[in-house]
Amino acid sequence: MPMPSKVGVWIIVLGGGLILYLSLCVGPAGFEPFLPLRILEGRLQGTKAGVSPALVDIIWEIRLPRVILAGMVGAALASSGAALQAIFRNPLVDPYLLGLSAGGALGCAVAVAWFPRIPIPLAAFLFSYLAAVLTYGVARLSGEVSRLSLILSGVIVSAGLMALVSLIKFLVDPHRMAEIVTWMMGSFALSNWEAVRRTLGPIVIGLLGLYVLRFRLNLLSLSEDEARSLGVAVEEERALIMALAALTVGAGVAAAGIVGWVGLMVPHLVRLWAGPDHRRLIPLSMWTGAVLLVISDSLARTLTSFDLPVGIITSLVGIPFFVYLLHRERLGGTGYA
Amino acid sequence: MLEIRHLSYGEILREVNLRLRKGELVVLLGPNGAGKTTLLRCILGSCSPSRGEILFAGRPLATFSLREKARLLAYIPQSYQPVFPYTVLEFVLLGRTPYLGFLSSPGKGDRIRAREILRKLGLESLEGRRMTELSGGERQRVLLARALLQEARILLLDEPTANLDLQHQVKIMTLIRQMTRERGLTVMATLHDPNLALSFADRVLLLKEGRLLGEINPGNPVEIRNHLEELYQVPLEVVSFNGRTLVFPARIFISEGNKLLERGNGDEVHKDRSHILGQLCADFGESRRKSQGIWS
Repeated sequence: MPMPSKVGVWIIVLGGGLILYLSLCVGPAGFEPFLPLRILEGRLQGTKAGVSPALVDIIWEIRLPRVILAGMVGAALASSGAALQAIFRNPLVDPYLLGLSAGGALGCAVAVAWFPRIPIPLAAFLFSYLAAVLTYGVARLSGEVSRLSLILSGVIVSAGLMALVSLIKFLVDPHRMAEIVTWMMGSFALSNWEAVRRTLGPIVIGLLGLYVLRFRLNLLSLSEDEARSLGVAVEEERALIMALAALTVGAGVAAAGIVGWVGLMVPHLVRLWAGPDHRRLIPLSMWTGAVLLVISDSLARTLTSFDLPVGIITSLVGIPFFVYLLHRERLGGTGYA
Repeated sequence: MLEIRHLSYGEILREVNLRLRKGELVVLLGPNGAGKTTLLRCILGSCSPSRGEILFAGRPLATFSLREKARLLAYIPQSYQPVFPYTVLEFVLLGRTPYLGFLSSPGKGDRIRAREILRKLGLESLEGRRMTELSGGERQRVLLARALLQEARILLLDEPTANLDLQHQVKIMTLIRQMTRERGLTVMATLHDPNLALSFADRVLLLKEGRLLGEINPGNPVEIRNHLEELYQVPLEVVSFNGRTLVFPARIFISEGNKLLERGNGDEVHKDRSHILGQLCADFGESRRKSQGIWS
């Protein structure tokens, strides 16, 4: 398996940066590769640089916050996915499959419906964390937590939580219901600077936490007895990682609704070229997740004349990917290559 | 050095008392389900005993922090199946954890130490290989390298020779014995093969149904046979060879056509296969007399 060279990392970083920039240039208004630069130049010089105010608004008030938000959510989902795969010792899980996303959605719905004073990302975080605990608890009911029982348990918990979200939709007044429905779609269509501001704090805290604890993830991916014999407080550290994942995923759901599969695919793609060591996997997953979700979102808003929910795109790619992983890993086995 | 007093864990371990001395290799023998792994896990702190205590230098192990304990005790689990394909170097470096801060990763100094140990164990060429690509023997040596990097005083091994071929069984046991002599490492290992135990151990302890039956002294073949027959409930032969003591099943039955014959003397045994074990037990006393006639 190839080890990532410095050059390889730079290619990914610069290539990704270029993609992020180009995604600012595309949209229903056409493709204009120099427009963002001209606007930036204008901003720095305090002039309009010959760009119409409407175009400035499209780039500055609509596309830029949207790209930033999609990038943050992509980084959150991908690194949480990598972290959850490590602590559950199961390369087939991600925040969506384990019910963290559904938990976040329920948290948003509860906050919107009944507790307008609780910040939505906070509610999303709490419910997302509870969902993770619940999924793990249900999987433990059958004794040994196997790969399959964990996924099954995540599916059950997700279904239950989404049923509660539907119930809330019926119970609240129609105006608020509309608000809840937009959350469930998995779309960045409503992104603005306000959404960026609301999401930035929790996601940055969560990402920093996962980043500084990335070596612990190597340890937590060992068997419990082994990790403990190396001086790891397994239960506590696992709970901490789950909380950090819930924090970033909850904030992501509060910003853009449920976007599935990113957290499953990205860590696998990164492992293919950078190996499984979380000291590299976590930061590279953040970056790759950000770039891939921005690409998906750019496709979502340009493929058709509609602004498609990005969750559709990620699911269309992610589900075949999951089937491929199932085929390759043969669920019953414990090996992984 | 390590002292276990009146240790009980539910029905699995009952009143276990034992003492490990510095630099000795102690092997724990016992049939499946005797509580060998549970005993190791209790020492590690992975299960808390219902009664009794474990002391290190007179201080209860329960009062050690996880990190202190990790500097004291290293553990190698049975038949290791890595989930993620870490490289050998990445994996061995995990052994530095008890010396790292909560937020830090192994640094250059740790990598130098890790490479030194890999070289000592003849693993330097495997440094960049994936754990999932290694053979059982290689993997076992990598686990040993990680335990050595942990610089613990006591090493607990759960069936280090499981799934290894004969060559690697001997190699790994030689290496473990060498570590006790070169580094003063104290080792407690569980094994299934009494011959490996008798060949390498300083002391062999017998565990059955959660109780320590006692220890056997490699110099006394009759005592060894009596103890091991009681442990495994099968008639055994014990022979001395080049100053070593070897143990093997006294009677083997093989089917020829629709007959069941005893290997060696060709005696026919009752055709009904379900009688094999009953026959064995009935002949237990006789087999004992026979073997004494031959070997003493």
